[in-house]
Amino acid sequence: MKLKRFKEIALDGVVRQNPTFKLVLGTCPTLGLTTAAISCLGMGAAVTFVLICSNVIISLLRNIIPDKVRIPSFIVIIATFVTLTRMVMEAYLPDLYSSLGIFLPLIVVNCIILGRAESFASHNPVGESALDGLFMGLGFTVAITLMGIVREFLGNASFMGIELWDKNVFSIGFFSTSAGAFLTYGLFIAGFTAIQNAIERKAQAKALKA
Amino acid sequence: MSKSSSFVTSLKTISVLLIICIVCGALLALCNDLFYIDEETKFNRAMQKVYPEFERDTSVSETPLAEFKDLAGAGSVSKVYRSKDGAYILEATGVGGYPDGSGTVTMYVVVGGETPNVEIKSVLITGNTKQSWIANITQKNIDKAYVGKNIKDVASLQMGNDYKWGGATMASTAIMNAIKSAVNYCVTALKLVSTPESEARDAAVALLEGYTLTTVVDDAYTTAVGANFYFTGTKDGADDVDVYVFGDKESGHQIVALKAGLTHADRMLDTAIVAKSEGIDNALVQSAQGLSHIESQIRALAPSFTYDVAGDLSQYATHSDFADTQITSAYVCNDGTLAIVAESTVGVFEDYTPGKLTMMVVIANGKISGFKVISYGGHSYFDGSIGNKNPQLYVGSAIDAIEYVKVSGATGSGVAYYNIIALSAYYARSISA
Amino acid sequence: MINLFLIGQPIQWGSFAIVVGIMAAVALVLGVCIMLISKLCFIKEDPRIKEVEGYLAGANCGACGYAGCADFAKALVEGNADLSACSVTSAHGKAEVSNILGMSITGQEPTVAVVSCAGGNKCRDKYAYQGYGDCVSQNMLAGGRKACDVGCMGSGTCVNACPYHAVEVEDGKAFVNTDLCKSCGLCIKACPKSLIKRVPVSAKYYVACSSQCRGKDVMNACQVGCIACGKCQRLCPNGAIILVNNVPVIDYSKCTNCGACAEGCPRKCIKLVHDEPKAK
Repeated sequence: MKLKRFKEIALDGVVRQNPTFKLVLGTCPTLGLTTAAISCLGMGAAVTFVLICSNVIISLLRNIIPDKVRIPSFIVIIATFVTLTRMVMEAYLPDLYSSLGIFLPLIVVNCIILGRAESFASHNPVGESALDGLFMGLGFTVAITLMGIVREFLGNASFMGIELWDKNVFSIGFFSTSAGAFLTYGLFIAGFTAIQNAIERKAQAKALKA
Repeated sequence: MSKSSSFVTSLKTISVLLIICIVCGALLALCNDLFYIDEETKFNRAMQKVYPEFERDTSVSETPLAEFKDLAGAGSVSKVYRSKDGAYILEATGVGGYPDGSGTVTMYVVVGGETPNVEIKSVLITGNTKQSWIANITQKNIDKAYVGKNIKDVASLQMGNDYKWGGATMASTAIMNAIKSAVNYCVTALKLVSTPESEARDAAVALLEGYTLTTVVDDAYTTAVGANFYFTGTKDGADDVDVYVFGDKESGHQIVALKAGLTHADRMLDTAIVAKSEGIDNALVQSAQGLSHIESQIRALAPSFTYDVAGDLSQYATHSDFADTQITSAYVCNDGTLAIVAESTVGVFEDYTPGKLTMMVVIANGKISGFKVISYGGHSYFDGSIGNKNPQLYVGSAIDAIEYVKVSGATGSGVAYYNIIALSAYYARSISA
Repeated sequence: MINLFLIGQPIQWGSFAIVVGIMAAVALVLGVCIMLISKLCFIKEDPRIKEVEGYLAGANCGACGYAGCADFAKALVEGNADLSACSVTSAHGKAEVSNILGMSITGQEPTVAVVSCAGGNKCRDKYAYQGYGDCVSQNMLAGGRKACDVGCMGSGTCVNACPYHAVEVEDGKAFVNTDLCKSCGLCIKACPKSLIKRVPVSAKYYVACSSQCRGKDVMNACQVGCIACGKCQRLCPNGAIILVNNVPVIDYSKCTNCGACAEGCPRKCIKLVHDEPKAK
């Protein structure tokens, strides 16, 4: 594959079409899990794994699956990988498994995975689909981990589970609530869009000057 | 679209879906067995989160004993797991102080160590109901407050600022109650350490065979009376008994058992009142302080208490042979030991009015086994001439053969002394007849 | 027993069979349901629509005015649209569509877009503009900052509009890279001064000025603006270029690409259609 295409997919996944801050997909784990940054990392890893695997399989089968049963086929494939992930996690990482709780099975209906399957993997070759899965997953992981760090720091006075100071002395409990989740999410999206726009405008200005 | 081609398309569609599902199903079924973890391992893992050295010992029952699992007003124990190294993990629930009694916290409490250094090793909260502030309590708070404490100390903890955090008063109370329930089970059912309460209870249970005793906590009446512990007991579902325990293991327990609800009793016979402890027929009975202490406590419970065996005190309380001497009270222990308090004003001698000599005489096995002076009055020679004599006068004599012995240097006192002893012997002979 | 992973149990063929059986049964039942319902809810769609859609370019740019190629195909089949609305589909594709629809292809010659302005930095500013960097916004302020009332402002509204990244701004004016241009027409719609026009791909020259002023007025404002001297009109051997309202207009049916007008123009405002952008 050409380097240009690789860069395009990579940048799309992590920055330009970041699933959390730009496409606003997969908000369920974003709002629910970001109270602790460690579980964000674990969730991100699980989602990335499932994304890559399902993208690959769906891309391989893209010409075989008839249109009418597209959706059930995708869901079965995604569900299989999620179940596999759950089994492995339960066996080898029981702490992470219990901290993710209900959000692990919810990966099946995570919009990011089904969305990328539908819009990318079913029209593109295997290599590109795999890369797209990888970078979308990375984008998601980075996004929710950042949110998790902020929310955990402000709401729980800790960093990655390490208590920094007694949270009853100083912490803004609001950020550990759902309302705080929405607020943080909104602020992050605003900030991300502002930075993106600024970069674009700068690039445009540069192009105009030339 | 011809019918056959649409049928073929349908077939193709269904078969693709079928194949995908079968392949995925097969893969999942295989992986399920590949990564299978059995219940035992899962359980041990869950327990090892609380206590890393846990190894399930299935030789003991994991259901807590019904009579000990509840701590009235505080909570209960629902499961008891024993580890092979002797530690216990208890699943306890505590109530938090909501007015309707709801609002609980459920947790695992790990208790371990060699008696008497049995301590709480760790605490892990597993769930709660209605405790909306519980998130303000951190694991660090709980660990600092409870972990490492001897369970004897924990059993007597009271709620205070050291045990309240983050404004979550109900949750903190529920946590303490749950831990206390667990500790209570360790003390009463598992008998890991003995607390004053368990010792009192053991003494009471030894005394009242066949009775099931329940501790009543914070009974204001108990405080007024001065008892250390108050139990209620039933036997075969009937015959409710109130049991008050005074004293402690070292100095001896004094146990007063009353028929429930009986506050004004004229007579309380041996089935109703039993006053005994390990020391009462030895040191405590001989300590008039001790016995009058018991008497005052019994009277506090039953104001018109008198003790009578065959007749009333008035019948044998005085005797013409022993002038100016009378028995004011008498007690019998359930091994038959008699404790008789008598006073004598005899001994006026040449304008010398000595006043009243009050003594308690203990009679056991048909002999005078000891005495103790409660007050001398004016018998100043008593101590030197009579009291310090070794062996003590009349001690060891059979109650039907008390011979007067004149005491030189304290004649008046000697007579008073003799009167009291002889009258007591007479009383003892009379009531046993 | 596969004990590779330090855990696990021997394969339980019983539960294996049950799992596979259940999955197969569910797939079968649901598959049949899907097929039955799709037959039941069969929307009698003209099968030609899908065929036509297959031959369209598939860019979904919306330049035709319909919501994507599928919608355009439907409109074509229903007879509500004309193939000429789409400039993106190749001639071959259009021919196939015409075959399906049984209509003759309207001799559509492929075109590209060109910006009829050569000014940009060579055109004087009436005022310094500070604000939202969009031509449409700038145009609202007294017709933009350029001294020429139809001068390209170079703020890139057309650049943003082009889905093929074919338009660039260079030297302060917009420029179309004809290699990339698909003649979809979105930039034409976007330009507030309507400076962008379509010319045939085969054309070599185009008029890079739209000013209706002449002479000194133009020279005051722009270094390369057309002064309407009429030399091009006089030089053309085929009469393909005539002045209309002081703006030279090329009739490409007559133009032979001889280049006499471009050479003779004193202002050098007749330019090559397929020029390379200087920045490269």
